[in-house]
Amino acid sequence: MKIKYSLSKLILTCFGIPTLILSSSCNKFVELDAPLNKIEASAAYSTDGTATASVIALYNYGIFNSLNAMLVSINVFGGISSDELHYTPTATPELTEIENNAISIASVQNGNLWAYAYSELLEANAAIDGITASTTLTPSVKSQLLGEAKFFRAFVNFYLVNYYGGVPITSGDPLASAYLPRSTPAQVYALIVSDLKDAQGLLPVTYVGTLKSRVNQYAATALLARVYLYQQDYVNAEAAATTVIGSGVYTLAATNSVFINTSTETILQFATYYGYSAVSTSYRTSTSATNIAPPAYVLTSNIANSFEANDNRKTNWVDSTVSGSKFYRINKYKIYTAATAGAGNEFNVVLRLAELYLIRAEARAQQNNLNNLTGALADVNVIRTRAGLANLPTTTLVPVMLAAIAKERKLELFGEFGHRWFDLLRTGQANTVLSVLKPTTWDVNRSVLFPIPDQQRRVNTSLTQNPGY
Amino acid sequence: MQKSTKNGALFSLCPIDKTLLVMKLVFTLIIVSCLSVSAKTALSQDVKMSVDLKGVAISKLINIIEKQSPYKFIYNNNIFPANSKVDVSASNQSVAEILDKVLQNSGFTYKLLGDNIIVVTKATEAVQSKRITGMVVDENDNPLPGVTIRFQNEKRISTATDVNGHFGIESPNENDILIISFIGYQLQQFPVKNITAGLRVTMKSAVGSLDEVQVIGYGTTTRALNTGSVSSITAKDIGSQPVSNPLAAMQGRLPGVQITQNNGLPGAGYRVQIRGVGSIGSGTLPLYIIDGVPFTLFNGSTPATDGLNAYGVSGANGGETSPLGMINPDDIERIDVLKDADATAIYGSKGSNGVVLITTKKATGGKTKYTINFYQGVGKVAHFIDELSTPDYLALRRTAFAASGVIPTSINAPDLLVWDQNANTNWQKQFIGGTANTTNVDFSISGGSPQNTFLFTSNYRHEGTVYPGNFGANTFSNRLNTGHKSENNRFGIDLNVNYGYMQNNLPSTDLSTLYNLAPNMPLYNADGTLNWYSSTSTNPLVYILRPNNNTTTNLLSKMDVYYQVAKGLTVKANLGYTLTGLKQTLATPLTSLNPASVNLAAPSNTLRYANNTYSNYIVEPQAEYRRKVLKGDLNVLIGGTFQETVLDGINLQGTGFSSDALINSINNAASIINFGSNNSDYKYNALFGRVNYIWEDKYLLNGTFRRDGSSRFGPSHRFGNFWAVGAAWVFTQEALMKNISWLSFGKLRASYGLTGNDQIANYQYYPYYNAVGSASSYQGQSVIYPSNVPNPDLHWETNKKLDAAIELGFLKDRIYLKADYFLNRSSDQLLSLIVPTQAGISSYTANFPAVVKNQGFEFELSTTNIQSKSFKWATNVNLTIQRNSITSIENPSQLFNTYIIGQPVNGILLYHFTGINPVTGVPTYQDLNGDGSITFAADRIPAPLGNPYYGGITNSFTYKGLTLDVSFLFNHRMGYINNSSSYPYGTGLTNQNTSALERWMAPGDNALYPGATTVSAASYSNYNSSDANWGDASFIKLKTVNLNYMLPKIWVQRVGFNNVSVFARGENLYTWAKQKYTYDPETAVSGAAPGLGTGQFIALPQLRTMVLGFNCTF
Repeated sequence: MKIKYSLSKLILTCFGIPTLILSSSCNKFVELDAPLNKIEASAAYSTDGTATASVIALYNYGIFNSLNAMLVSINVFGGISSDELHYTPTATPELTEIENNAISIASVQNGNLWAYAYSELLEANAAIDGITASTTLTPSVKSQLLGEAKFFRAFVNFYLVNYYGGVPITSGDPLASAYLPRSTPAQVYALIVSDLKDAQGLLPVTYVGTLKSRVNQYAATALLARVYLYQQDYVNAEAAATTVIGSGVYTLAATNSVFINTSTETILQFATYYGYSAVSTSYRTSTSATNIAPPAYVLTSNIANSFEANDNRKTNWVDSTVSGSKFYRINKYKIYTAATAGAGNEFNVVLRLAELYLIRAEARAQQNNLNNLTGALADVNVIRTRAGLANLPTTTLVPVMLAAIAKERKLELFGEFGHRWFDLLRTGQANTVLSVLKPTTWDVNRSVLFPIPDQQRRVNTSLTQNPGY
Repeated sequence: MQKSTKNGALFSLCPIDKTLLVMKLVFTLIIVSCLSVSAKTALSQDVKMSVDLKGVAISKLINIIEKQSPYKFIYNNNIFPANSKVDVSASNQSVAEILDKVLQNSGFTYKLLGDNIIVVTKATEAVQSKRITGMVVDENDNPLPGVTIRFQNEKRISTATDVNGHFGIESPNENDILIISFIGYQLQQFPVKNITAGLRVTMKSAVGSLDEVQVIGYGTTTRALNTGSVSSITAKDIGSQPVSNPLAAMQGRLPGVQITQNNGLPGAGYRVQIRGVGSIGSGTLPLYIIDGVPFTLFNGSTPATDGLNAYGVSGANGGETSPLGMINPDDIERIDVLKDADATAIYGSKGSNGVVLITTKKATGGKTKYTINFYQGVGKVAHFIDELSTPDYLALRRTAFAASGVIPTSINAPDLLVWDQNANTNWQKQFIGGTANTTNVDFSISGGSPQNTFLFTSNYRHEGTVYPGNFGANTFSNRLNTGHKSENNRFGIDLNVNYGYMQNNLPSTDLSTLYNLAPNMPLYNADGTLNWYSSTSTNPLVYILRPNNNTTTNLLSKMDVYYQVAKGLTVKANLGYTLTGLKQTLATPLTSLNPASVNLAAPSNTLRYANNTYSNYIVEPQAEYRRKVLKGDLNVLIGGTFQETVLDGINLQGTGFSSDALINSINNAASIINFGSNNSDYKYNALFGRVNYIWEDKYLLNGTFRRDGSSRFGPSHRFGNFWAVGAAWVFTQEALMKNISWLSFGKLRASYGLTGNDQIANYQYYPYYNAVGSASSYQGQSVIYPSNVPNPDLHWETNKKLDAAIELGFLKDRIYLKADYFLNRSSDQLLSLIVPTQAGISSYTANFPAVVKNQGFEFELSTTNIQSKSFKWATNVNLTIQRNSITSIENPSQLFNTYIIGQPVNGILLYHFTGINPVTGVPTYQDLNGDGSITFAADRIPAPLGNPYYGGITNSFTYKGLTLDVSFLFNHRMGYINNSSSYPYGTGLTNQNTSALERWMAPGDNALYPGATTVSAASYSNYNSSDANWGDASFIKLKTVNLNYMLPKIWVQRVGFNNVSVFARGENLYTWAKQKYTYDPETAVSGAAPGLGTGQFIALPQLRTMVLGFNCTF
C-alpha cells in the first residue's frame, strides 16, 4: 500500500507541477509577435507611413494583387459585351460567352470581376474606417488618405452598379459584409456621390507624389461629372466638368502622346511598376509594330470602319495587322512589356480630359437650349480638332448633336474602361445597336446587366439574381 | 541436489515473488534495527526443545518453535508451497539443530540475526557463487563493447563488456540464468550451471526477431512488448538499395505507408501518406523526427509541403526539395513508422498524420573500426511514351485541318508547310535518353571505450541526370556521433552533429515534358544557329541554357544528457537544433531568349534568386521512472517540449545584366525586384507523459497523454489534450498455451486515442496587414494590405484512432504474421471556408463539421521458407487494403471543392463518356441533369474506385556468403489511363502518343478516341476528364535487386580486413503497368492532392539504376 501511495504521489507531483507551470506561464511561450513581413491590423493606420502604405495599395495591388485583374476585366468585359472589342482566341469559352451576351451564371470570369471589385472595396473600407478612427495621423495626410480611399470606394462602386445594378454596400468588416443583400442602384449611387463629394472636400488640387498618379480634387470632380451624367443630372455634370476643364491644369495632348505617363491630358493614372499598362497583354502580343500574332482582344471592324478619313486617332491608336485574317489592334498603349522597373513610360490612364469635354458636351446637349447646343458643339469640336478632323456643322437638333457626341465617345474612348458598353446601356441604345451588329447572338429580351455570380448566390442566399438569368 | 534444482526452478518462475520477499525482509530489518528490538535474553541459544510432528506445514512448525523458545522468525508465509509438509522428531535439541534437520532438503535455509531472530530464506541464496568470464562478439567476430550481462533472477548483479568485448561476473546462484543483451541484437540466455570457463558469445542481429528494439516516441520497446502499431525498416533494408533519400528506401516495404517521389530528378520532393488522407483541407504530412528532433519543415505553406521551397524559383525537379535528401541513407540505423493512437498520441497535435522516426547509427565503442562503402553505377529512363512517327503525325495534322476547314499557313502549320517532311526526331531519346552516373562513397570510423565512444562518418555522392549537358547533384555530408558515460553508468551525454551540403544543378524545365514536340521540328538553322520559327516561339534547347542552381545545406545537431538520480529514476534532456537552408537561382541569359525579344540596349536577361532558411530548436526535459510493482514492470515517463521554428527567406529578381557572364551575380543587375519575403514563426509547447506497465511479459498496458499548445491557434484555443490507451495480451505466455509447440508467439493488442493536426497556415487567428515586395510598390512607396479574415476560434483538427491487431509467430517465429485493423476518424476539419466574395476575401480558415474516415487492414508476413546450414530463403510481404471516405459533411457548399458523403476526400468527378459520335468523331457524354448541355457543375459522376490495395514483397536468399534480395512493389487501383494525349488531336504543333492511331477517322468508325480537328471545343477537352480516360491503373514494379557477396573471412583476414563484400544493386528495374501512355505510374506533382503518385503527371520517371560496389571493414 505504501508503494502505491508513494507512486501516485510521485505521478501527481511529476505531472502536477509541470502542468501548473505550463498552464500558467506557457501560454506566453506559444504567443507570437507579428512576423517580420506583417503588421497587426490595429497598427496599420497608426502612423502616416503605414496608413499611406495601406492606401496606395489601392492603386496597384488591391488584396492578393487583385487590382490589375479587376482593371483588365472592367476594360475588356464592357468592350466585348458591346460592339467594340472582339475576343480572338477560343481558349477561354467564358469570354466568348460575354462577347455573345450570354453569360453563364457559373461564369468564373464574371465571378472574378465581382470578387476583385469587392476585395478592392474591403481595402478601401478598411482604410476609411482605420483612418477615420486614427488619432495619430498628421491632419493633412489624414485628409489626403481619407479622400483617396473614398474616391476608390466610389470608383469601384461605380463599375459594380453599372455592370450589376444594385449591389451590396459592404463595410470594412469582412464577415459582417459577407451576407448582406443587394442595395438599390439609387442607394449605391447615393454613396458614390457622397463619397466623391467628401473626396472633393478632403483632397487638395495639387497632386501628391509624381506624375498625376495619386487622386487629387479634380480627379474626384471628374469622376463625379461622369456619375452625374450617368444619373442624367446634366446641370451638375456640366458644372463638374467645367470645374475640371476650367481649372487650366489639363490640356489635350497630341494623339500619339495621350497615353504616356507625362501626358498633359491625364487627370488620373494608376502608375505601374514596369511602366506598361495592365491591359497591354490583352491588346497586343508584343511591343513590336510588326507583330503577327493576334492579341486576345481586337477592335471590331465596326468601330475601326467608323473613323472618318485622316482621323489621327485611327492613325495613332489603331494598327491593322494581318495574321491569316485581318484584325485591328488597339494601339493606344504601345508598350507590351518592360524588363526593369520604370523602363516603360505608360501607366493605366483612368481619367483624362477628353472624356470631360464629351461629358460636358452631352450634358449641355441634354439641357436642350440653343446656348447649350453651341457649347456642346464647341466641346465636341475640341475633340475633333485634336483628332485632326474638321469641325462639325452647327445643328439645332438635339438628337443629331447627341448622336455626334456618342460617335465621338465611341471613337475617342474605345478600349478604355468599358465606356462603350455603359454608353449603350445608359442611353438605351443597346438593343437598337447590338441587335443589328450581333444578329445571331443578341437577344432583345436578355438582361443587359451581368448576372450576379451564381456561386455567390449559393453562399449568400440573400442575393437576388438580375432578371433574365 | 535434484530436489533443490526442482525447487529452484519452481521459484524462478515467479521472480517477482522473490524480489518482493527480499524487499520485505530488508524493509523489516530496517524497522527492526531502528526500533532496537532486544527481546529476551542472551541465553536463547541454549534453549532446548522437543517436538514430534508428522506432515506438518513448515509455517506451523515455526509457530510452535516461536511459542516454545524466545526466538522470533522473519519469513514470508507465501514462500512455503502449500503442499510442503515436514516430519519432525526431536527431543531436547537446540532450535538450530531442529531447523538444520527440518530444512535440510526443503530448499530453505535460515540465518540467525542478532540473538534471537531467525530469518528463513531460500536455500539457493546460500549457494556458493561462481565466476563467469567470457567474450562477446558480433556476427563478424568483432568484439562488442557495452553489452549488458545480467541474470534472470538475481537482478542486483550486472555488468557490461569492455572495449575488447570481455566481461567477468560473479554468479551467486548455480540455478540462475545468464542473460546477455544488447540493443539491436537478439537476447541470449545461458543456464549458469552449464557454463564452463571462457564463454564465447556471438550476438545475432535482432532484426526481424521479436526482441528487435523498436523506437517509439521518447523511448524504445521491443516488437514483442509493443502495444502500438509500428512498422520498421532497418539499416539492412536501407543499405541494400542504391537510394539517395531514406524515404525512397521505405517505398513498398511498410504497410499503411504510401510513398512516392514527385519525379526522378536529384533532390525531388516526396509525398508520404500514412493510413490515408485524414484531412480535407489541411496538411497530411507525417511528423518526421530524426534522433528526437522534429524535421517536418512545414511552415504554413499552401498546399502543405514539408519540402524546401523557394517560392517561385524552381527548376526541373519541381518547386520543392525533399529535406530528407540531406540525410545519408547509410547513416540510418532504422526507421520506425508510428501509426496508431497508442504510438502517436505522445506527439499530440502533431501525431495525427503518423510519425516517422529516423534513428541514425550510433557510436558503439570497441576496437576502432574503419568502414568504406563505395558504389558506382548508371541510371536510365526505363520506359518511354510511344509517340507518333513523322508520317503519322503529319497525316494527323492534315486530317485535323481538313476536318475543321482551316487552311494551313506557314504560321499555323509550319510543320506541314515549312519544316522537313522527312525529319523524325525522337525527342525523348534526345532529351532524356542519356545516362545518369551515380557515385557514392561512405567512410566511417568508430570506436572508443565503454565510457567514451565515437563515430565519424563522411559521405560523398554524385547523381547525374539523363539530360544532355552537364547537370546533376553533388552531396557531401559529415557526421560526428560521440558519447560519454560515467564509470557507474549513471551519467551520460551523447552528441550527434551532421552537416550536409548539396549542390544541385538542373535545367529550368523538366525536359521529359518535351515528349510531344512535333517530330519534324528543327532545332537548328542550316547555319547551326538556334531556329526560332516565329517571333514568339520558344526553342526547347533554351531550357538547357537556363540553369537552375539549388544549394541546400543542413545542420542537424542533437545533444542528449541523462542522469540516474536514484535507482529507477533517470532525468534527461534532449537539446536539438537544426538549420536548413535552400538557396536557389534560375538564370535566363540572353542567349536563351528569342532574338526577336532581345534588346541589347536594355538587356532582359534575368536571375531569380531565392534564399530561405529554416531554423528549429527543441528542448525536451524528461524524467523516467522504472520499478517493479507487484509482478509487473512499471515505467513512467514525463516530459515537456519547447520548440520554435523560424523561416526567413527572400525572393529577388535581377534584370538587365551587362553580360550573361555576370548573370549569377545579382550585384550586376540593372534593377532588382523584391518579390517578397517569407517570414514565419511557429512555437510549440507541450507536456507529455506515458505510463507503461508490463505484467510478466504477458499483459501489457500503455497510457499516453499530451497537453500541447501551438502558436497557429488563437489564445483561447491554443492548448489541447491528447491521449491514448493501448493494451496487449501475449497469450502465448499463458501456461495453457505453452504446450502448443507450433505457436511460438501470439499477441492481441488494441489501442484507442486522440491525436491532432495543426497543419494550417500560420497567423490565421489574428488580423494582420501584409507587406508585399517591391514589385508591388507604388512609385517607390511600399504597400501593405489586409491579409486575412482572423478567426480566433481556430482549434485542432481531431483524429480519433482505433487499432486492433493480432501478431502471431509460428514454428519458433519462422512464420510471423501481423494483421492490423484500423479505423481513424478525423473531425473538426481545418478548412478554407468559402466566404461570399463580397466580404472582400474569398475564404477564411476555420474548423468545419465534417468527418473523414480512414479504415483498412494491414498485413505484414515474414517467413523463413528454408533455413539450412548454408542456405536461407526468407520472404517479407506487406499488404494494405485501405478505404477513405467522408462520413459526414455539413453544408458542403461552403467548401471550394465538391465533396460527397461516402466518397473519398480526394474523390474525382468525371463526365460519363457515352461514346464517340460515329458520324462526327466528337466525343459525347451523358447529360445527367438533362438540361441539354454538359456542364462541369452538374454532369459529372464520382469516378469508380474499384478495390484498391497496395504493398510489397521482398525475397532474400542467402547461400554462404552470397545474398540476393529481390523486392517488388505493387499497387492495384483505378486511375487515369492516358494523360499524355491532348484533345482534339491535331490542334497545335503537338505530337500525340500512339493512341491517336485508334482515333475516329471516318464516318461510321466506332472508335475509342475522338477525331482530329484544329478547333477546340469543350467536348474534346472534357475527354481527359471523363471516364473514357479512367480504368485500371495498377502496376507492379521490380523495385530493388541486391546481390551481395561476402568474401570468405579467411581470405580477407589474411590481408588485414575484417570483412569485404562486393555487390551489384539495381533499382526500379522493371515496371508492369496498365497505364501505357506515361513514363512512370508513380509520378506526382507538388500539391497534387487527388491520387498520390497516380502517374498522371508527366515528369521524369524514377530511373532504372544499376550500381556495382564494395563494402569493407578493417
